[in-house]
Amino acid sequence: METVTNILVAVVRKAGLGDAKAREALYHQYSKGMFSICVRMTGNRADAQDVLQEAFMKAFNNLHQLKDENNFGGWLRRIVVNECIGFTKKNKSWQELQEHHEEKADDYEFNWLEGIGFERIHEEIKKLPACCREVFTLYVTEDYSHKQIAEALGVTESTSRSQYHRARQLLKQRLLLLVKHG
Amino acid sequence: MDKLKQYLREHRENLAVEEVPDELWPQINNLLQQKKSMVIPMAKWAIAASILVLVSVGIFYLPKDEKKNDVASVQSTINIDSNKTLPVETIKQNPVEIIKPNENPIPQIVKTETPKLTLPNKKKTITSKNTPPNEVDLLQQNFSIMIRHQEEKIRNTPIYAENAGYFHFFKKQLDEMGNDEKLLKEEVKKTGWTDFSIERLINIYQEKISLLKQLQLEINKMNNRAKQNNSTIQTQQPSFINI
Repeated sequence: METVTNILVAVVRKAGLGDAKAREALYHQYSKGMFSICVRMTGNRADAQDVLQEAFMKAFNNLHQLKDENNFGGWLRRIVVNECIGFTKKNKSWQELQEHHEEKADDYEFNWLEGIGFERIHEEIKKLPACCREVFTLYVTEDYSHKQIAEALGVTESTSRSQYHRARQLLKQRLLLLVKHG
Repeated sequence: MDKLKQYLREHRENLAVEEVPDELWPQINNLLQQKKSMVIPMAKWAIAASILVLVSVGIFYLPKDEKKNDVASVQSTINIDSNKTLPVETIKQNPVEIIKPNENPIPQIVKTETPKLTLPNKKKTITSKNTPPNEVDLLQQNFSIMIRHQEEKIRNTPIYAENAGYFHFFKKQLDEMGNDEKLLKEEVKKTGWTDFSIERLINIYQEKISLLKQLQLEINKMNNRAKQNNSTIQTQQPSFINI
């Protein structure tokens, strides 16, 4: 008989069999990180809560499809991000940005970011305007390429790029302003 | 490489700063429990399915048994007359010529004498000519009968007080289950049936039946309420659900 030495694997297997305690354990282990993604993608806690609920329901009901229990976190993250993308597509209308974003050399330096707390960064990402906030989150923290973003959100690659530059500029302006005023 | 991206990606775990609302887990847990309670334990369904399989196999063979019995009685009459045991095939080839009502006026006598006759391998002959249908097909047939029965019942139930559209949610759920079944069958075309896919199929059927029963209950409940409050009954034109 196979011995399960990995606690995560054991818990995921139990959760797959419908064990409520195992499900709760997984929820408490991952919900904070996943909720933060949802908030960054939706921009508010109420929508993020709905999206997260839907994502966990999907994950627990389809746990039998997970091939490698060790990869539960990554698998759940993909479900959460997909739910967020679905929410974005349903609720946002996209516009091509007419303005041209010049890419200056300092755009790709980040010294200005050093020393700023992650909570503040998270708060400012949350406050970015819709569309550029989702693109920024997918590109930066979820490591999507502009091509993947374009496919996922049903926009062009150039829209994705311009929304990302817009987000970067806004984030920089706002964070530096915050630092300046303490 | 975009250094901002690199920096935030490397520290993305530090960006997990949002506290999750306390009420979220109880909500998710409740929804999961509701879904679970809709699914009747596997063992009960396995028993029900086995009984159905047995019954349908019985029904499948019953009429043929009777025909064979007729042939057997014919055979016995010949044996009595000729005092010879003929092979079954010979009797089948020409049974009409042998049985003539006028030539066999006292059937009771024939019956009393049959114990003396030996009819070897009668049952074997019958079963060997009919290979039993695939178990999964039988399972599907049996569940389909149950589902059709339940659907028929709902279709024929008049709905008072509410329009049939009120139950749209149930129809949507049923459509989703239908899609799940389709997807599973497409998957099975590639991989063949496994224990796991059979279990998934049974789960879909169970959920369908539970949902249909729930819908029937809802309709009955609403009708009862409407009957108690006569003013709301649309006795002239009840509506019907088209499932």
